[in-house]
Amino acid sequence: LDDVSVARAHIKGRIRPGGYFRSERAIRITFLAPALIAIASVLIVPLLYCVRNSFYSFNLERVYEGQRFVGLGNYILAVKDKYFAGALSVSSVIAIFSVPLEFVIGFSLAILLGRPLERRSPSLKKLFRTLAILPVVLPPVVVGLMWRFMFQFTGVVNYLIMLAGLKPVDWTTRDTGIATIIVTTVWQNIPFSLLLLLAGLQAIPSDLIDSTMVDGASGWQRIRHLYLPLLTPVVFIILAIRTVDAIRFFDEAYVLTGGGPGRSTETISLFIYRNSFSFFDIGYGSALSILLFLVLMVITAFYIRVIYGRGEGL
Amino acid sequence: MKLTRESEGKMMGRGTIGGGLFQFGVIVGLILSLVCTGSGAASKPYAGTTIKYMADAEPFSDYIRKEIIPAFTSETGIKVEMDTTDYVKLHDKQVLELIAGKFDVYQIDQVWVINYAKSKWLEPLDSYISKHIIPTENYYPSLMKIGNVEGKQYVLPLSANPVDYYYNKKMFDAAGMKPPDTWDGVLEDAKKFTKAPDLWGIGIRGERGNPITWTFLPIFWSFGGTVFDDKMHPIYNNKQGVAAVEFFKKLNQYSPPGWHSAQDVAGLMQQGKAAQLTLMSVYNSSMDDPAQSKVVGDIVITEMPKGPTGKRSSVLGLWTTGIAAHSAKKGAAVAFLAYLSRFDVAKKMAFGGTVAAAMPKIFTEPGAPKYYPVVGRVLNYAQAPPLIPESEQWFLSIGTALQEALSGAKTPQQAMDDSVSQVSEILKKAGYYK
Repeated sequence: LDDVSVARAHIKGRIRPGGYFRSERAIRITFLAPALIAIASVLIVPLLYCVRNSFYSFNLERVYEGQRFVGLGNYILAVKDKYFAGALSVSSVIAIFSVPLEFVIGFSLAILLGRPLERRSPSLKKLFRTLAILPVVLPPVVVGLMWRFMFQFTGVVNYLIMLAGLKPVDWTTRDTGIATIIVTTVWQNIPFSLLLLLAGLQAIPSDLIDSTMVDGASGWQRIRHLYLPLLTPVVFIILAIRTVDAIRFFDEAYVLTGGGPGRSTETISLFIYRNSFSFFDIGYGSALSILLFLVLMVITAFYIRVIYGRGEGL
Repeated sequence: MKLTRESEGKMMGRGTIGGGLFQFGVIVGLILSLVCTGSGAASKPYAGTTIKYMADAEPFSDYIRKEIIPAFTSETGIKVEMDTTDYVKLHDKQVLELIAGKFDVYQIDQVWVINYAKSKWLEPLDSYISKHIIPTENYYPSLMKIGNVEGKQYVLPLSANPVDYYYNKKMFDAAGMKPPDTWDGVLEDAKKFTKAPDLWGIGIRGERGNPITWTFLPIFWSFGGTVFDDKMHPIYNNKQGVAAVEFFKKLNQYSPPGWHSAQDVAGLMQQGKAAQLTLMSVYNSSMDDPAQSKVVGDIVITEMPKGPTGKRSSVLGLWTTGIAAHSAKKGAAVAFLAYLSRFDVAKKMAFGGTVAAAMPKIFTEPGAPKYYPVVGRVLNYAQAPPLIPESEQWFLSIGTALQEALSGAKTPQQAMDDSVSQVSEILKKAGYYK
């Protein structure tokens, strides 16, 4: 093959089968194989093994009892388990409060860090951007520990509350525990919304913004009729990723409340962890993981439909 | 200096006879040193081996790391890599490690022994005991029995800690009060001392699962509570059980909010921020350790308060040590267990003040710590928690229920009812009854 022929073959999307490959299909399979094997071994095989385990009664701590096929028994148990329902509701509450809060604060900061700050103080803009992304680069466990110390009865939060002349708060009850989890996760994830929205805002052509100004549009009108419509795909990507993250949220909750008092702040991931690695009930834990997987699939499918329109992307 | 023949002769031992003697001495020395090296190698068959030891993160693990392991290494040449984990995470980590197989020796809570043994994760020690490789004659026979599962000895006692009662004598004297002898008295005094957030009437160890249950069981038993009936049906939701939980809830008001670990509440006492405490005896000596405590000499350790039944109750904690069945270094691991089981080593650990004695003879040895007579008396009525393969699930269930009751998420009756029904299901599933 001369260079021109190879180039032509590439342009057509085909390479002529040569000595090593009998067909174009063989070429594709050969080059895709390493990636397919890697994906299958780290994603598909564990998932199938998890599905298989979900139909068995199998306790890792009592291996001497062996494995027993129970069919849908673990799934039925999950539906009847009030702690599972409780964990689902805790995760939902966290997602319902934290995702909109993160978005609203992130969007507000993105607007502030965009044009107004750039016009008035370009040097401050760099400083604010650096400070604003700090929380997201910290490991969640570190963030959890940091806030746990601050929310201790003798911690800095209660100190500030007492300075304001109020009584210190017990941050270890069910309601206050969930509040601490929401505050922590919002604090850590605001930068995620902020960075994506800031990038989206900067991609809006400045002549569009200038023309709204010439037309005398107020700040709110610009947000409502210009920024939000143009940023819709970014907004839904943020909401999709953060909703899924908030529902399978683990680290900060594990460090902050450990699911307590009792099991009242147990998130769905903590609940699965507790069953799998404290009770070592691998069968039940697997069934719960599959259920969580299905819930997340439904949420993701919903967002994808919203972003790409019905019938596309699915 | 230039050496002359004379000076050489002086150095060699004054002449040819002296020189011969010197050479003879060197040869004898060399032979002796070779013999000694040979006998050293024979007495240190595992020298150079490194074993891994998983232990609980408590003061006595620090003591073992600093005082016992270096002495063991210098005596045997075996190195010990010690890894400590917080109690609430230790069981989970141990199960995974026992399956994966990285550690040789484990410090095991008595409640986990049955499952580990039945899962064949532990090496039976009978052959080493019968050959006197591991000395066990000094241990309390009752403690040895806890490590015996289906006729085989899997673990050895390490530290037997009953829960005892601590109070700050200086605070009581300053208030013109006498220490209480009943749980009602403890509650009354806790109320008087509490001046939140600076001073608390009592410190409650309340982490979910085993820790909070450990604090509760002495109250529960002294209120006449019983965990299981003769047929293993859980009955701790009866009148006595619920009364004990209601009392526990009242007492918890005078402890700092939150769910504290043993280290947290010991720290409260040591910093002079709590007037009373019930905690394992392993923390007794730390109250008089100036490196940790601001109240050296002020804390008195005494017997547990009496309940409405008029009896005192305490719960016996027992740490044991065992060898992983999969260990590739069993010889060195056995040598480590044999070392810990020696009377002189056990006495050193006990007198060090962190490892509670598991050998009766140690309690009567001269120079025993000042609180040993009290611990000895508490040991007379301290009882083990339920020891069944499902113990860990029971602890998690009742420990969760206790937090639910104390936090007000459920009433004491509701919390106990829910836990009893959950535990009944677990035991039913395990085949105790239909």
